[in-house]
Amino acid sequence: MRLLNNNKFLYKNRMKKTGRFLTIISMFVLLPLFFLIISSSIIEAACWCNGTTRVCDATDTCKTYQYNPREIDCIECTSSNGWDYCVEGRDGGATGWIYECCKNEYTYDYNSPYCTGDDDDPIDDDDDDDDPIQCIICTPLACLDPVTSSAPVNPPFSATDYFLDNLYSCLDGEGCDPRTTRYTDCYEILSPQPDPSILPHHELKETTLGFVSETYTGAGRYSIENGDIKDDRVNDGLPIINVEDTGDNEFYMEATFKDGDQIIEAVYFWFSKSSEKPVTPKVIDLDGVGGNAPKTQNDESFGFMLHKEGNSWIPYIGSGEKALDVWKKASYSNNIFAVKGPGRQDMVNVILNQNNITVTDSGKKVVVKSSLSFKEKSSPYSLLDVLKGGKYNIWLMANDTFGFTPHDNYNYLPNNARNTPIKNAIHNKWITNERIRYYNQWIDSGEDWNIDFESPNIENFTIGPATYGKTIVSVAWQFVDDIDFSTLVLNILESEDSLVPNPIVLQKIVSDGGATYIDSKFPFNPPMFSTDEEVMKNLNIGHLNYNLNKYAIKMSGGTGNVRKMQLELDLGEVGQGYLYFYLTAFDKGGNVARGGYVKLDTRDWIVTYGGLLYSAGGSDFPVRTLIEGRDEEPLGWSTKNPPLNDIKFAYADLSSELVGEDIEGVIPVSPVKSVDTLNYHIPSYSVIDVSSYYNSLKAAFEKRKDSLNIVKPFGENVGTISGLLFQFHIANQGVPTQERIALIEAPANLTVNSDFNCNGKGIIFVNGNLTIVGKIVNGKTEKDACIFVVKGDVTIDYDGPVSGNEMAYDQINAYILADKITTITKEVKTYTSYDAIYVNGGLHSLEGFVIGRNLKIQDRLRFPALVVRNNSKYGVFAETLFGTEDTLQTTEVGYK
Amino acid sequence: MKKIAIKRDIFIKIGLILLSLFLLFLFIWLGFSFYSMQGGNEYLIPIINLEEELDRKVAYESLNREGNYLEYRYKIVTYQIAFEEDKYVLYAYAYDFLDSYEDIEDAKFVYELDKDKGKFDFETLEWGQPFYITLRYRVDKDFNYFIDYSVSLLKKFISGELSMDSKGEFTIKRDMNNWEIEVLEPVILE
Repeated sequence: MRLLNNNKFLYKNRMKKTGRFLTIISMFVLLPLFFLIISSSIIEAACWCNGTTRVCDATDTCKTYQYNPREIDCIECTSSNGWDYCVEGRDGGATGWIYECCKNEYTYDYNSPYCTGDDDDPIDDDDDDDDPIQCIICTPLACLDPVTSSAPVNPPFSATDYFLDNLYSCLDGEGCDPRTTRYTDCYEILSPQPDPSILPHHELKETTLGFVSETYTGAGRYSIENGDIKDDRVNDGLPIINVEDTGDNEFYMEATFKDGDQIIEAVYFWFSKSSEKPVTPKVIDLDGVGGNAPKTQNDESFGFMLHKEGNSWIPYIGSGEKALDVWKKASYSNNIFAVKGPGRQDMVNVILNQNNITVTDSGKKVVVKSSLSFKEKSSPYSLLDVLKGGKYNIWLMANDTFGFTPHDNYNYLPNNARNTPIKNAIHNKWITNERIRYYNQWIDSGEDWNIDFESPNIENFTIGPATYGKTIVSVAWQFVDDIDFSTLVLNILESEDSLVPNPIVLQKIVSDGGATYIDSKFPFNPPMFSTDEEVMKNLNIGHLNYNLNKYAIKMSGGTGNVRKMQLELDLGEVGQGYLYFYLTAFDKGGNVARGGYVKLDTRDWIVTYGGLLYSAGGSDFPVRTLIEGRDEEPLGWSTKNPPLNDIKFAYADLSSELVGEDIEGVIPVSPVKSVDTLNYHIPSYSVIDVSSYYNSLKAAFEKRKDSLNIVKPFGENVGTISGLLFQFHIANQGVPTQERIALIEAPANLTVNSDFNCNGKGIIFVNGNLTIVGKIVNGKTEKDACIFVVKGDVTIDYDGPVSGNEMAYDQINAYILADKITTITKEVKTYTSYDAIYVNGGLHSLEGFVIGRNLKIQDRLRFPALVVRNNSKYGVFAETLFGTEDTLQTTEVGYK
Repeated sequence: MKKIAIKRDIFIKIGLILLSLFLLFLFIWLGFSFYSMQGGNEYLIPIINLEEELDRKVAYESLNREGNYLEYRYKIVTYQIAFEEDKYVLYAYAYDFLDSYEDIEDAKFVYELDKDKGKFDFETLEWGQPFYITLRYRVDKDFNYFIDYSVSLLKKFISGELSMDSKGEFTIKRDMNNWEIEVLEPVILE
């Protein structure tokens, strides 16, 4: 308990000490604080009496007013609850007056002076704290630059797209009931977009065939030969050649974009086959996030944009669809980037050198020189071959600052009550700084560019007789291209010197779609064909420049991509040989259709329709290889009677297959048409080397002579025969008419006149040369037969035209076996037509044939100059005369 | 000074009493929790602690309970989509962001969707086209759920927020099971 008392004592002492301490603290802390607060309240007044002197705040306009009123400068005053009693005025001014020190204006009302605007005045609505609350209607901020209250006139988009709804706002004062929020709507101030234009510049460099196009890109061949680049792809930007360094020889396009008021931030290029305005991305992927890998949505359009980033113009290409359709940064190196195709493969290479982008007029004018290439970057030999060919409209567009990405357009403004709402409104409207305002303001530049990767074709390139004139041939072909025809050149070469004795004359040109340019070199002397490649190379066949290529004709222009063309040429008295017609045609992309050449065989030709035309020395007679369905029967074939009327044209070549088994040292080869005709070879069981038909057959005949009914109608030592073999007045000499055999033996030469008529059966041995003047006819073709066995040469001579102006056949109804040369002579008379030879029987010659007979070229192309046709009557008759001891000749037997 | 002797038994008794009280408390607490978390008796219903920008910047339009699933549905608009190997990355904002933000820059967020938890062809979306995205979470009433529920129940009780008359919420953390997108009519933006 003591302890507790002590504690209480101690506690009391402590309490006392504490009380004192608190008292001291109160005196030294609270009192000054109190005075500080009091003085602060005084200081708040602008003017006051400090007990002796009027004091005014230096910043206030403070005046002292006398009650009556009279202004007086009170220098001593007493403070009395807001009223100041002047104790002593300056310069003896009155005392005892009541004064007021006012910050503002002074006024009085009867005995109550007061300061207007002070808080304690009795007046309402004087802007002091004791005023009653009044309704103050607010006025929001007005639209000032960079916004306006005026709606845009004829804007690219709807005016609502520039509308900033409730941009500014304010709330009516507290005294208003209700308090209304008031708004100001504004519009952005529009900026016209840049004007674009473009000028394609075509290559000035010719292809290897001298082709240049002003409007097309083609797919010609690219090659390197002996270190030299041969780039026949017209208007293709690869391999890269700096436009600035090449004197504008290369293909490029120069686009110009001009703006009137702002810098240009982006320029766009689009090539489209469609005439519809391109649909391109609304968004540019500036941060590399979002969208798919780049691609173009179809293979009939492509394009790119260039965005200025720092000092460079960075290429962007399209990607994806809908929300994912964004401009993606292209892979750009070595001044090339690729526009991707629908399969995200390279579709078009764009060649863009930053040095070829010129920015002037403080960024308001941009000139871009760029080029396109459709070759593979890594291998210019190959085409990218994705884009479809055709005419591409060139669309252009550019964005200045206003038109590009509005999101950040106003970020330069400092934040304040006027600017911040603008910035927020724009942010909220455009969402992101990747969204393009004028993404679709494409303008058709009016310029087009054409792309043609398909090579044209020359079809039905044929040469045949014309429908008129005996020396005129028709050269016809059809040009086929997917787009359009440009130019062709026709070269004509001859196989022999002076094959065409007189220049070829152009009779007629027929061209579907017409032609705007024809450079004809007719009358034309063809240069010589050569098997020497170097010689042919130097001819520069197909080149468009006549100084390099002596073409016959060059034609350009006209309309249509499928063009039938025809030339009718008068070849005159063309000789035996070949004419080579080379046709080289270009479409507008410089793609070349090389029709190769058509070799016109101007030689006369023969037909051995089952007949025998044997030459022991082999044969080089021109024959035809006819294919049913391909080779049409020539006009007039079936009316050539005889011998062609009953020879089916397609089979006329059958027995042209000759097997010369007797050719020394040469193993017989299969006939050319063995595969087609399914023929077979019947070998002889004994082959006798016939050195002389005359000797062999005469010997054989002598053995059988006595058993035959021989008569000698022309007697002995015959030199010429003419007229009928059997004169009707000559007696049968004791044998039946049908069994008698005329024997004519010529000890030397024999001439058969043209009026000789073999009107029976006869065997004629000629111990010299045989000359047949024109023809040998039969009385009864199916029965009468004359066999000539000649020890010397045989000459089948001409004897005037058989019939009028139309070619006909001189008929030789005989079987002729000659030990030496058989010659069919040329007609040298000036006839409209020349006649051909028809041998109804056979011709054998142990030393060869000379066929000098030729036809006019028109007939030559249709009809054989020599027809040898078998007739079985000779076989039967020969067996009668010579027996069957020897196999004289083997022949091919075939069927079709 | 007088020494006071205290018997050891007293401590043991006090300990036993306290332990009994504690066990009784546990029994009541956990028992009540277990009883009340059964269907129809919950005093607290779960919500997912998303801790993602999507949830912070977009107010969900609806929260549905479908069986063991909680579905959150948001109405958003994307302005950029990135395709990564195993996920889509959406750059988006709330469709009605102006209700909460003055500047869209404050409303933007990034949200990732695992490709294996949902399917949608984003190439069909038009630019600026709003859509509903539904995030589905599976919430099984398992031991974890019981612990979360019990602890939350106790906290609410201590803080006085627990009401027998109305249901409160408690937060749990779960992984999203799947997502679904329902496209709305596009807003035509020129």
